[in-house]
Amino acid sequence: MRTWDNEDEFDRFIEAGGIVEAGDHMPDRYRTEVFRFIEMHANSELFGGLCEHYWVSRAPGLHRKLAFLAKTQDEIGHAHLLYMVAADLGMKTRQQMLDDLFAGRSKFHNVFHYKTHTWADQIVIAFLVDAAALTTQQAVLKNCSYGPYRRILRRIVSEEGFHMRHGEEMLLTLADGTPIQRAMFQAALDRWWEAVMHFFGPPTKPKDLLIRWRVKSETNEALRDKYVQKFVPMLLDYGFQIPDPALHQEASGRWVIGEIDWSALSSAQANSGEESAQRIARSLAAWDDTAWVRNILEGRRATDAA
Amino acid sequence: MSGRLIEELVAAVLMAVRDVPDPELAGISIGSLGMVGAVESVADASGTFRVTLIPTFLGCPALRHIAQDVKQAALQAGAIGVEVIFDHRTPWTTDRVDSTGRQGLAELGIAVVTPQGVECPHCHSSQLQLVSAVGPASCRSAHWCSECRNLVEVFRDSTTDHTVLPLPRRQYAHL
Repeated sequence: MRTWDNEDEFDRFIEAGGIVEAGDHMPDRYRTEVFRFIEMHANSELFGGLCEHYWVSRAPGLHRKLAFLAKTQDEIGHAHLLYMVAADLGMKTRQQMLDDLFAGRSKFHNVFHYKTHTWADQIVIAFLVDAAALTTQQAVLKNCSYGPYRRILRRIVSEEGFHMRHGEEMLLTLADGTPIQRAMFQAALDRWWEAVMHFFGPPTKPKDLLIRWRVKSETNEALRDKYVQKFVPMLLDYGFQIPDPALHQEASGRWVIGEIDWSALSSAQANSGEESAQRIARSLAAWDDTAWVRNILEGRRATDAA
Repeated sequence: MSGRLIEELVAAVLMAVRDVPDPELAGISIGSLGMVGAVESVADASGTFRVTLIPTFLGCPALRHIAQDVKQAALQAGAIGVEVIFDHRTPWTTDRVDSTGRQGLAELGIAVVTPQGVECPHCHSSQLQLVSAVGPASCRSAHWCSECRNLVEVFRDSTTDHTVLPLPRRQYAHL
């Protein structure tokens, strides 16, 4: 166990590339920031898993169903690992985190506050949103100062890379498909593009503690820009249009997006997005539906649980 | 094709196939995981090869992608045609993972179970408690190391006896 006399000393440790371990006597503010970050990641993995689970019975074909089943397991598994690491920080137990989530007191990623209208919406999530998540997670993994989180992130990132490959394959099926399939994807892209841009978050504040303590190592704008430079040309190549009238390419080849309207993100963050209430209700229903499994594993009888 | 040429090609294809990376485990090859069975030339000696793979578990969602990658690797190594088949009779067991694979998995925070038990890939403690028999993938279980307080995963197979990983659940009940 290591201890630091004050935040300045801790800052120097972090600046020198130090890795904080679970048993270290870390400053309270660091513990709080790291905890909140991992809790939100865990919540988002759980909602991602539930979102994919919804499509298992609806996905076209056995291969897709199998892939969605496996991805659901991946995401719920990731959430499980993350909740354990978050709980170990001693701020909330896993049950408290779940209770807060089900009561609508917690945050989760903005993309889970909207409705998936068609199969193409789910492909946008499986490819474009997963790619956005991977972009942000890779940036955290590169330099994250909290050891236990960084270690599980390494596995999560390599699994998300595989999900993206599956998402890309589904996108190519639609891009290569009939005019109706292409139109279906374009309509989904039109609905989701703004949310994907919001995914990276509003511009990072200059005194951001997550950056200062190397939980994150790149600003939200830098990550959004990296993503735009990669995915805008890809989508245009496939013959789709980006729903941003101000989008243009500079002489240098760099893509520049228009001004972002943040209003939808604010309501998502307040858990009052288009689909927030339904998603939260579905997550609680999933938890209640699986109570019997936990009861058996924990050796409780059905009557004890009531 | 002459017998000698075919032999050389079989060796080249086998090597290329063994090096195919696992799509979900960064930096680990399917050869190291012990997933590659036989590579044979099909009877007509036309340069077509049959590659037999042993999946870590039935219904693994990555199999289709692995088959694609294997096909491509074999073609690049000089095969004219490739047929990938999955052997569903030979059970994959963790003793098929070689030392390079074990080392690579340890770097990812994944231990491989042995008949003697299992140790934490980070601190080598044996204080691993089973958190969930199924982790993010069906071939891995999730464990909590009470020594270094890291969440680790254990690569397991259908024969794994979880009682080699005893210890009371209560030790992490506070989480």
